[in-house]
Parts: sequence; structure tokens; C-alpha cells
Amino acid sequence: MQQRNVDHHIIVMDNGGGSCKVGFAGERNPKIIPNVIAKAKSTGAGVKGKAYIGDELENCENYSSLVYKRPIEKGYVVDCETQIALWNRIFSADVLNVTDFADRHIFLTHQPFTPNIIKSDLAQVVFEHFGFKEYTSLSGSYCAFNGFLSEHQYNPTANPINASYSAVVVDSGFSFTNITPIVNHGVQKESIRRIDIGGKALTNYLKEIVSLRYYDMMDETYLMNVIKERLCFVSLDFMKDMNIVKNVENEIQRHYILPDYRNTRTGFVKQDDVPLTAEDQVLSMNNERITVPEVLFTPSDIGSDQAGIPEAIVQSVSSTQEIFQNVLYDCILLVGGNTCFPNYKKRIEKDMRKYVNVDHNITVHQPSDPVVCCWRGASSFAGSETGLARMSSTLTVTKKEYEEHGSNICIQKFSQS
Amino acid sequence: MGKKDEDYDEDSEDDDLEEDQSEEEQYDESDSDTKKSTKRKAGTKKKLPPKKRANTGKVAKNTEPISFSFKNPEYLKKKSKNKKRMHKNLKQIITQENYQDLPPTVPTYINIEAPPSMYPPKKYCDITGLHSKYTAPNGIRYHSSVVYPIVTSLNEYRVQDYLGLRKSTTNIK
Ligand SMILES: Nc1ncnc2c1ncn2[C@@H]1O[C@H](COP(=O)(O)OP(=O)(O)OP(=O)(O)O)[C@@H](O)[C@H]1O
Ligand SMILES: [Mg+2]
Repeated sequence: MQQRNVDHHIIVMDNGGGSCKVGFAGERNPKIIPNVIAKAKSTGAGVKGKAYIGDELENCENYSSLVYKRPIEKGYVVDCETQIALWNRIFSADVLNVTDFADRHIFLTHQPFTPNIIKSDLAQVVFEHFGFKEYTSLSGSYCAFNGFLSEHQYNPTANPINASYSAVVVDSGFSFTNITPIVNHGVQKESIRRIDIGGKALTNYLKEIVSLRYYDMMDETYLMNVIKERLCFVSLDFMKDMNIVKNVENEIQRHYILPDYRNTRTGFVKQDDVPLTAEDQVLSMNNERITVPEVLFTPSDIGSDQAGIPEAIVQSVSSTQEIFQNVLYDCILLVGGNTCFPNYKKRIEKDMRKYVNVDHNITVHQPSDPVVCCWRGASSFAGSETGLARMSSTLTVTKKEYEEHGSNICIQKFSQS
Repeated sequence: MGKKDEDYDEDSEDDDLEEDQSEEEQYDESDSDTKKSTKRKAGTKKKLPPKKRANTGKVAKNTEPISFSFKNPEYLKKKSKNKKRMHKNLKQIITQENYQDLPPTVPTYINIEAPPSMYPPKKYCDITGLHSKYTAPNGIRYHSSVVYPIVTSLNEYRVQDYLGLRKSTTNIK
């Protein structure tokens, strides 16, 4: 795709349940803003705790006992009021510094099958609350695929892609995992599969098992998320590793020094050669390191009756026309934050080989940055001539159109992908 | 149970997994919050016994708050407090979309759900997280005889906490 210069008139936003990735069309890197309002629990009668909106969370001195309000549930904006508060922060001088909404165009990525109620609520927020001039919305998985393709402009040595512009995009982020086959640029909507497990469920699971086994961490969501990201990994041979963790001393076990909120706000992994001091509070992470990400592969571990990711990929691809299946298995693209677990890609490769007939080639790709891949794809789309052409012909609603036709026009146009 | 600050939730698993608690879910999220924090507050003494939860569950079906308010006064307070919460949760929104009226071939949020796995679930020791071959009479799975004394020493609430991890609290009555 022909890249143009950065276009400050188009704000590109991948508004995720965990974080909002935002920037201007054509930019390479977005700002990543936690999509949450966190509030310290009130300390006494009538005293309200301080609220931290989005990126203000970084300034929080004590991550303990925060309560959270999130606008998004399972990838869909259900709480517009909270979303507006967060977008206000994002558009403020501290982040994007946008005030002249009447001259701007907003490009949002969306999840498939967004309920019409939410589509029209969002249209209202975009046109009536903020007063944007134009509004485009495109499938997040499609954007992620585009982001992966556009990476080759920056890194010509990366794997060449099949010429048919087809892939299965596996987006495993904060609040869900979606599997979306794309054939020749077209999202195969009836073959999309969703699993209601994302990073949030994993963090909560870790928090609960640690609370039952070791320390009460039920109020320490932030900390448990940090520990998850630092210490959990996907096992390549679960049976074998579970035998290893049986032993009192083993190579999987790590010790995590919990924060004292004086020298460290989030704690750290204990180094082998540094002795413990009497004040250190230590959390031992053993089988927890692998059983938590394992939930992505066997959701039944936490009582879900949905299949795990590799099986769901097979379910999705087998529901497409037979002639597409070969090329789809040959380009499985992993995006979203859970892709960052060590061994995640290898494990998917391994499991896919188990489930899929040997006639099919299996190729699994992971972009250089799985968290921002979707945003990059959206940015490069909105920043290219071809993307702009498609946007203006079918993907964009103008304020004038909205005023004429109401939110129905958004429902129509944005349901294509 | 500490009072919630306005409608902030504890960021627990309200939207991680669909649970089959049809009655309780008629409510807005506040109720699942209650349920959650009672079931989930592991290791704290501040929890309502599971029986109380069952009460609120039944109540939900009648939807006549006044007649039962004496059973759980906390509940009413919560409910009125949560009036402030203007937005609907996803489940309520999905219900309003009336997907059941569409032909089953039309893909929707509902029918793209990944079907169950074809493979048997793994079994872990509820206490240690290790592999488990055994299940105690109270429903707890355990790794070896070394852990068994712990298993038998658990009180009922603790057992519920452990089983809650794999959402199987309803299996034992
Ligand atoms: N290095 C890491 N290891 C493990 N998990 C990680 C890592 N980095 C991020 N994550 C997890 O990824 C999740 C966020 O992923 P992502 O940014 O793709 O989600 P999102 O786009 O905000 O949400 P969604 O797409 O679900 O609405 C978080 O739960 C986070 O804990
Ligand atoms: Mg996302």
C-alpha cells in the first residue's frame, strides 16, 4: 500500500478493553492508554478516593486496593459515559491535543457483530457528543492483517505472504479471543469463532489461585497482572512440565519479591544470586507459571465449555469452503496481548499439527508487536491512497449523512466487516 | 463486605465467563458483584455464607423487592445505589437485539461462540494445582495422600472457594 504522510485530520483508534491505542493516520506508533478509570478505595466515611483516568494511572503511587471502571465488556463499548470520560482525557492537551472535532475524522476498529444498540450509541457519541466531521469503522482483525502486511514495508526480510490476501487472524487480547478467517480481503463472518477468555480472565484466575494457596491478593489486580506478564509462560509439553513442578526444588519455580510500596511499587523477580532479606515478602510461583496461560488452550480448566484456541481455529477454518482451507491454515496470524506469552506461537503450531490433516501446510505468524499490530494496520490503511478511496466510497459516514439518516447509516455501513 | 465506591467494580470476572445463573443475571451487574465478592473473596472472613446467595437468587425470579427486603437488607441498598449505573451490561444489550428471531444461518454474537472441546478436561489438584487422580467426598480433587489431610480439614465455605475456581460449585449440594 502506498504510504502517505501523517494525516492529522484522521484520528485512528483501536479502542480495546485493556488499552486504547490511538494516534494519527500514517503514524507508525500509537499512544497506548489504559482504557480504565481506576479509583482508590475510599479510606473513611465520606472521603472519596482519588480517581485516575487512563494514563494517569501511571502516576498512582499505590496500586493496591484500586477499583476499576471499564467502558468495554467483551470488546464492546457498553458504558458510553465512561468511554467519553476516557476519550476526553485522550483528546486533551496531555495526550493528543485535539479540540477542533468538526474538522476531524475518526477511524475506529470494531469487533465483529457489534450489537446495533452499541453501534448507534457510538455514532451518537462520535457525531453528537464530540461532533466529528467523519466516522469510519473497520474490523479490527482485518486491520491486524493489514498491519502485518504493512510490516513488510519496514522489514523486507520478513516472511513473504501468500498472494491471495487470506489469513486466519487470532486476536487474543484483554477480554476475549476472536478467530477470524479472511479470504481475499473479505472477512468470512459466518466462520468467526469467539472464546470468552482473554488476559483479564487469566489475571483473575492467577489472583484467585494465589489467594487460595498463598496470600490474599483479591484486591491486587494490578500487581497480579504484572506478575502474570513477568512470569507466566506457555508450556510446550504440559504433562512433562507438570511432572517437573511436583518437585520441591525445580527449574520452573521462581520467587517473586512482593512490593513494599517504598522501594518498589510492583515488586520484582528474585535473582538467583541475591539473598533474601528479612523484610522480603516472597511469592513462590511454580505450577502457576504454566497453568494460567494453559487456560487459553483448555478453557475447561476454569469451567468454561468453549474449546481452546487451537481447536477453535480448526472449528473456524473447517467451516469455510474447502478450497480456502489450505491457504488459511498456511497463514495463521497471532495478535493481541496474550501472544506475548513466551512459547505461545510454538504451542499453537504444535497443537495445530496434532489437530489438522497432514495434507495441509501450517504456518503461524506473529507480528513484531502483537499489541499494536491492529492499530498499525488501521493507521496504514487510513494513511494510504487505496485505503482512503475505500473509506470514502463505502466505509465512512459523514456528519451530514448522520444528520439525514440517523444512526442506521452507521449500522449499515459498519456491518460489512 | 466493604461497600463499593459508586459503581466501580472490583474488576473481577463478571465478563470473563458466562455462568449459568440465569436467575441472578436478571439483575444488573450489582448482583453479580455481590455474588462474586461473596464467592471470590478468598482468604477473607468477610463473606456471606453461600446460603444467602441462594436467597438473592430466588428473589431475582420474583422481582418484587419489597416483599423480601428483610432477608438481605444489604441487597436493597446495593440495588438502589446501582440505579446510578445508567448503562446496560452486554448480556442485557444482547437480549434486546433479539437474535433468536433471525434465521440460524445468520451469524451473530451468540452463534459464533466456539463449541465445546472434543477432548476430556484436565484434572488438577484444587489445593496444589498439580495433576490429580483423586476426588474427595466433598468434591475437592487432590494430588496425593500427602494433601488429603488438608482436604478433609476444609470447612464448607473454603470448599466452595476452591470449587469456585473451576466453577463447579453447583455440582455438590
Ligand atoms: N508480555 C505479556 N505477557 C502476557 N500477557 C500480556 C503481555 N503483554 C500484555 N499482555 C496481556 O494482554 C492483554 C491486553 O491485550 P490487548 O492490548 O491486545 O487487548 P485490548 O486490545 O486492550 O483488548 P480487547 O482487544 O480484548 O478489547 C492484557 O490482559 C495483558 O495482561
Ligand atoms: Mg484489541
